[in-house]
Amino acid sequence: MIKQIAIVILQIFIIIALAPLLGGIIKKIKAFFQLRKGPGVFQPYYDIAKLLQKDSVVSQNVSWLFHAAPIISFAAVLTAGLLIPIFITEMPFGFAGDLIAVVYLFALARFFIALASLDAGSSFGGMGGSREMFVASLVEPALMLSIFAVALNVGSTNLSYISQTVSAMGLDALSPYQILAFAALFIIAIAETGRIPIDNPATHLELTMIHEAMILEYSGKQLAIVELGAMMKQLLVFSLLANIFFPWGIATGAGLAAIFIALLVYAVKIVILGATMAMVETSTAKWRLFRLPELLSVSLMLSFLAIVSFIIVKGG
Amino acid sequence: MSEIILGSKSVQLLIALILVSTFMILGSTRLYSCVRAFGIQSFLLACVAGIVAYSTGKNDLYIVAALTLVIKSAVIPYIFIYIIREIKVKREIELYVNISPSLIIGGVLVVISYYLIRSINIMSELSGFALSASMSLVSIGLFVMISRKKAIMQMLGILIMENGLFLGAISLTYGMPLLVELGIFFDVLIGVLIMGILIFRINKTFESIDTDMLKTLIG
Amino acid sequence: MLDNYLFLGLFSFYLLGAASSVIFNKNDRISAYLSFISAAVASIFGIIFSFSVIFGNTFTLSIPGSSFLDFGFFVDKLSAFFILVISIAVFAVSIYSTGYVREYFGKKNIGYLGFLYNIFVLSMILVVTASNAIVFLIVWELMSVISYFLVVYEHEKPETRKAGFIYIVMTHIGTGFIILSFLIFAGTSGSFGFETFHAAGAVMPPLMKDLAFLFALIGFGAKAGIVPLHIWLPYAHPAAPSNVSALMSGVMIKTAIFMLIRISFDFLGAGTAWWGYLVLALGTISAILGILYAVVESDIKRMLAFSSIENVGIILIGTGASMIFFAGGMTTLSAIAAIAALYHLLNHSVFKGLLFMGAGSILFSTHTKNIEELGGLIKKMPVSAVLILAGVLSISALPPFSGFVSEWLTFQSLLLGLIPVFKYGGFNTFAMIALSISAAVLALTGALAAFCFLKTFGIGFLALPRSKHAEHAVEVNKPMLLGMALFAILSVLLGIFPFYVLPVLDRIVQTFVGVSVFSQSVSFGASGTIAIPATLITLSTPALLVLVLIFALIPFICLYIYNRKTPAIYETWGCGQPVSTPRNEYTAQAFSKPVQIWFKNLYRPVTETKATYSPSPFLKESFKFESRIEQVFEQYIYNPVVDVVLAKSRRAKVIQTGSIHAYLSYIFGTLVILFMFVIAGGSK
Repeated sequence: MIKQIAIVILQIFIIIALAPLLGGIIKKIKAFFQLRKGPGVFQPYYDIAKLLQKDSVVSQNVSWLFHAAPIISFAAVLTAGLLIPIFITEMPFGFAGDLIAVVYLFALARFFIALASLDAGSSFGGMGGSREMFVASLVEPALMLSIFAVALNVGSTNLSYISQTVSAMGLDALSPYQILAFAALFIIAIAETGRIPIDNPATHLELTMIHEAMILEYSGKQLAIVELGAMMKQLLVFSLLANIFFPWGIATGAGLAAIFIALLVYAVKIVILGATMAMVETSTAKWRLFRLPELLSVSLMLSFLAIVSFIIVKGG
Repeated sequence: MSEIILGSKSVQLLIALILVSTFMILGSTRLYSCVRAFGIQSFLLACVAGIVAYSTGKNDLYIVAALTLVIKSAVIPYIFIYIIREIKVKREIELYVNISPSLIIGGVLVVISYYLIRSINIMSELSGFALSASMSLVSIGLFVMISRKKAIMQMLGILIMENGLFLGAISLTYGMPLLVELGIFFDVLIGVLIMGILIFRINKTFESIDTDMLKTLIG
Repeated sequence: MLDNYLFLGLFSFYLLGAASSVIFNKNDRISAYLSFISAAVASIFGIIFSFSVIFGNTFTLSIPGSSFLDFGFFVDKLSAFFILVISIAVFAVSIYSTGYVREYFGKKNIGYLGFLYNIFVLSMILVVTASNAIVFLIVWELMSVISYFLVVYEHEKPETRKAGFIYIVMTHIGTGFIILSFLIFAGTSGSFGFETFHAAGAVMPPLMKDLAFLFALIGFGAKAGIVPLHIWLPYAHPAAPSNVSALMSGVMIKTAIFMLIRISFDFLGAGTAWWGYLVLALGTISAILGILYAVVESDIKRMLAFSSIENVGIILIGTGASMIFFAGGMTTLSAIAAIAALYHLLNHSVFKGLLFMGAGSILFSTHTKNIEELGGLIKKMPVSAVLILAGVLSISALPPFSGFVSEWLTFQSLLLGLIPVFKYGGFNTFAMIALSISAAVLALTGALAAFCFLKTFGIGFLALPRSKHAEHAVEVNKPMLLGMALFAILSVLLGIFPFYVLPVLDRIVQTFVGVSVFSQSVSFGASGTIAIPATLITLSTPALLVLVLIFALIPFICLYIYNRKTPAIYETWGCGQPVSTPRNEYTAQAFSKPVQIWFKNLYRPVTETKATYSPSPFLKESFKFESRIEQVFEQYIYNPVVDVVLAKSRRAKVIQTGSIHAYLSYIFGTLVILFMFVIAGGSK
């Protein structure tokens, strides 16, 4: 029991505490590729600390939803965090939901922030909310097919079981369908975390941004909560990628040594994924919004091919 | 025997990546990224040939692999890029079929190829994947030729088809005799060169390499 | 024995409601209360009755009649489930109606509405309980005709009359096909009793079976709103009074699903795989097209009607998957898929009822259905807003609301169809590809539903009022709130405690699929989870809810307890310009524009811009932008057919001379032909 509680607390701690660090690391790596010095890796912490000190300024048009949205979406993302294997496969709350539930928890978080974006009555908010939901709808079919591809390979959508099985298979787990599903999910991860070429996290031009436009009316502490929620979601999406496809090294029991190794391996995996993402961001330009269906249909077809190649390879 | 090699994890992974690169060609509207994706595809194909050569011990396959590597993943993409740069063609591909429908058609072609291969009954569990992939490469290559307007994309389409045939040949018989293989390479190279010259001519005549313009040639 | 009394009670209270509303027609208030309250009482009888059948025995009641027309009732667990769904919806909607019809006091005939309402509900109950094809057709027609009268209740509006016309035509086309299907059965069984249809289904030749199924699918599909037979829904649902739309969309279209399940599983044995694929494909197409049209719609009630098409599609995806599995001999999977379908059916009747009532409330207090004219209602109608939000979250399939659970179950049943192929042997590649495409489309549908309802709620309820209508809105009266609250609570409860409902559904599904999956293949309830042990998949909405609530404390403490400061109130940011006016708000059309551009091939939008300049060509004086989308099915399927029919009819008109002698000679001619026919038959 104590062990379980300790695992839960450690997992929550990792998600909340390391989420800003990931953002910082990606920025640093990006700066490295662009031959810049870039801000320090701890910059996101300073930003959040600064925001937490500040007062909020709230539009006079808003209702209670505007105040409730950051809380609900933060909580939904953190709940999803307890369903995703981070360093251990035996999660105490793993029974509460599977991969599909994680997807819908993210949807819940997004839904409330997008609702809040309309609450202030500004056009920017509406624009951001509309685009965010548009991209989310583009992503969804590909996401579901990749989930199916993963589930086909393992036989379940239970996340701890997926990690456990793939981890036990070792290198055998590398298969055409895994690769195709990974490629599909990687494109989806770009969309879900709002990165180039889908969205530019660093932009400050209202007309081009998606996520930033949506949260334009938030300020001070509320903005800190929203930003932290977004960073947590980014970390969780990366964790999903890492621990569904490359779960090697994850702890399967609650031994201290195993957990320690798992944490180290986890950090390495996340940093590698972050570096890959930074590389993609550096080498591409942001796409026009209405070209995004093309990118995401690539992802859709890759996930579909994952299922087809599963059928072909397993023979029929 | 065929199953051991072509069913081996590494070859399957490479073939999956070849499919990914094919869909990159289908899903891209930039000439450069299409050419790059083709280069990657040929590189992966060379790796497949290399692995097959290594595991069968057929030395002439090494030559084929090396030739693929040099000609298809380096020389031909270079020629393409040279042409694109020289005739200052607009980098956007014009399409008859939009990207999303093209991709979906690509997916359907893969499924059809699979059913086709399955129906001819030469497929054992493992090499079936390679054969299906080669068949889909051929059909997708043809589809690229049909659905893209730029003359360069027609060349690319025929090269994708050729890659598909090459993959099929490797997976069925571990490659054709070296002489035939060499002949094909020579053919492809000359073909690309001739097509390149043709593209220059088309460009000079119509000030565009849009093959739609050829319609104006009818009497 | 008790069942008899319950059934009688249910019957008599609806009749009482119908009668009393007519008797007290003089006084609107008394008439409304009597009719709707007795409908509510009758529905309580219905709820108890259906539970007693679900947990007890099949109920039959036959009224001795002529030998030809055996007037009887037959209620098995499946019928009882539909009585339950109808009764729950009627209970809440009736309470809501007592408040809603105040709108019509003094303007319209309340007694007429109350009468039609009661008879309409009764006819739906009769449809799911009829035990004879002839009786069924009579009550089915009764239901259609009464609902037609309800649709045209506000007949002074021309668009309502058009809606009623389209509805009555489509529903009669449907009935025609239903009659054909029943005739095929009766041709084999030699009787119109449903119990003989079951036996007939077993001995019919395959071709006949296929035909019977296809006719039934077309006939009932027209009622259920399957694409491309859906065109009446977006006309009829907005035209009807909102309380009636809640019932039509929530339960009436489900009676068609009931008959589809009954005919394909019970009568025909669902042994043919392609039926399942056909239903799956139609369901998938209906789901995606329904929601695509809903997304770009700015009339709330039309949008809800399109969304009903979508949800019927989702239900059919479950049903189709169930039929595929059943035909493949995978009865366990078939049962799970059927449970998912029935659960979504139940949930949809609850949240769609709630949303239609919500649309009615908006209409009641703002007198407009156009969301472009709404806005800011969350401050004017705070309670309604919360209740409608519950419906919105539920239909957007967000955890832990009811829509999420049923959509999750539908996904799982599709996924299970893929997994067993290698776990339990039997490798059907076609099924795998079909199921995964369907799942991808379903995922897109779910995301677009969230988009659509986010738009509706966000534009309609948030920010500033966009028109005088919305500015003067006030909270609706108590009975209306109570009716909505019942459904809002129910859709939360159905989401959090699905494991109390699913075993009940399991008992129902067992009657037509033949296996019980409860506690072997699926367990519901153990520590508040739904679990499918074969794949180790678990879902626990209570746990999710508790976790979300606990984690909400972290930001809550951070925002409101630790170092608390009241936020400064200021204008909305508008790049330094004072823009806090409703004119600067994002519109519903702009919100859905990305989807409209994405699917421009489907919508074929027509846009017109008109600008006038003065005095210089750089200064716009006025600018008008108009954009509408095409209804592809009406444009390219129905209109050509209608044109052809009209042209033919015009030509056929020549026989209508107006001369009585000509008419008599037609009769004479017919008579002669009949004589010949008899003679030819007799000589054989």
